[in-house]
Amino acid sequence: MDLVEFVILLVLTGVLAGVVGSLTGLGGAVVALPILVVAFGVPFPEAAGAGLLTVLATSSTTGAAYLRDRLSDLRIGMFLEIATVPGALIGASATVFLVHAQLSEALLVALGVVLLSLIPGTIARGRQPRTEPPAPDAVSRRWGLRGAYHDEARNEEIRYAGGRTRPALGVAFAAGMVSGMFGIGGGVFKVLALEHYLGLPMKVATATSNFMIGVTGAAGASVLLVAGYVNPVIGGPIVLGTVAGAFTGSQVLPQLRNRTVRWLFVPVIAVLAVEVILRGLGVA
Amino acid sequence: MNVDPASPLDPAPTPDPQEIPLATYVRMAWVLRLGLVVAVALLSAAIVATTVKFPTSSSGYWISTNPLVRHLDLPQFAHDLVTGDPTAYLTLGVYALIATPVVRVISGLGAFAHHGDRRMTGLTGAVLALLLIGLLVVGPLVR
Repeated sequence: MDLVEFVILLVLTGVLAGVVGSLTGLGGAVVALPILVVAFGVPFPEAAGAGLLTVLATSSTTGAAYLRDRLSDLRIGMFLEIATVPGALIGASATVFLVHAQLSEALLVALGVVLLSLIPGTIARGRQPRTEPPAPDAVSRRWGLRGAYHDEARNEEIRYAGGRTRPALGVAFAAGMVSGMFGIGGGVFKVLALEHYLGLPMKVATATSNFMIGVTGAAGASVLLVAGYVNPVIGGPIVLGTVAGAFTGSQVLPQLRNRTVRWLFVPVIAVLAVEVILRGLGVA
Repeated sequence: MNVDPASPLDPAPTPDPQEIPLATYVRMAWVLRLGLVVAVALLSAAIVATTVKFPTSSSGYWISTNPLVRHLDLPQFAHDLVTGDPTAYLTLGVYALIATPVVRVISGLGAFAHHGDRRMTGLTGAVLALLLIGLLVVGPLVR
């Protein structure tokens, strides 16, 4: 196909990724990456580079609103970035090494497995029973990992304090590695660190995860960029489509039932993930 | 969750951390908005210009040829910007996108230092140092 067709199809892929990513909560890169690999035949590292660009765009699109509403906890977000940024640097470096070692196929299989692993958490999101938040530990008290936000629905100030900081840092490091290695935001893992381990309210966890995703994405993208795996002719149109799609998704979201949307699109992502695995195995 | 600082959840409460001023949040949100607008404007204009300049080039060529590699050489990048190469402006859009969260961290660092919040200044400075290490050390090392 010629460049004009290519660009139009990439923008449309970005729009689809933005809409589905925001409606399912998986993020645009999780949708765009397998489509780039399966439908466009983009090599894995360039697809990962484009994925990180969509992560940066969606994080900036939604992050501003979360910051303005003071839902993102800057202190806790910055604290966990101490773990996510090195994770992203190591993950992106591992990708470069594996590609240089002619192991791109192994990365494709791993990407497919990671995409499939995101699905159960996405389906179950918001349905897990709320557990008692952990007590603040010594690290949490020392770094002042506590805060408050005004809950509009309950019209009250909700106070919270982080606990279990060490396992949370471990999960944040792993989330950074997954992000840098595969070019996805890894928001599902960051929310796990923030909500399950630190014990933050879901709204704060989601907003803080979004705050962290941008910085983690920038760390991974900088390594892939210098290694020559961020192609602006592929990433640029995808970014434009994703921004438009994420905006559209946020507008239609209130009219749609989240569960319906998830059941509609999650199987599509599962099929794409299986396609990626088959391609990695040389079957597709 | 509703945690009172004096509740049994926190047996040895420390003083509340210094509150981060609203202006810091607003400034960071503003950085994100501006960065996104600049990146989207550059990418939009450059994509149109690239398709106008290379209308018959194939997708295969662009998948196998990454114009950004050429622009990692800064003098070459500056030359291509001056001569109006649209792919140089695509690269500039990508740089703006990647730089946005980094500038947000820098703006936060300035705000925390200005308000004398030593803990946040230290944390933010460490995150910025890690980002710079990634760009200036790790990237060139694994390239």
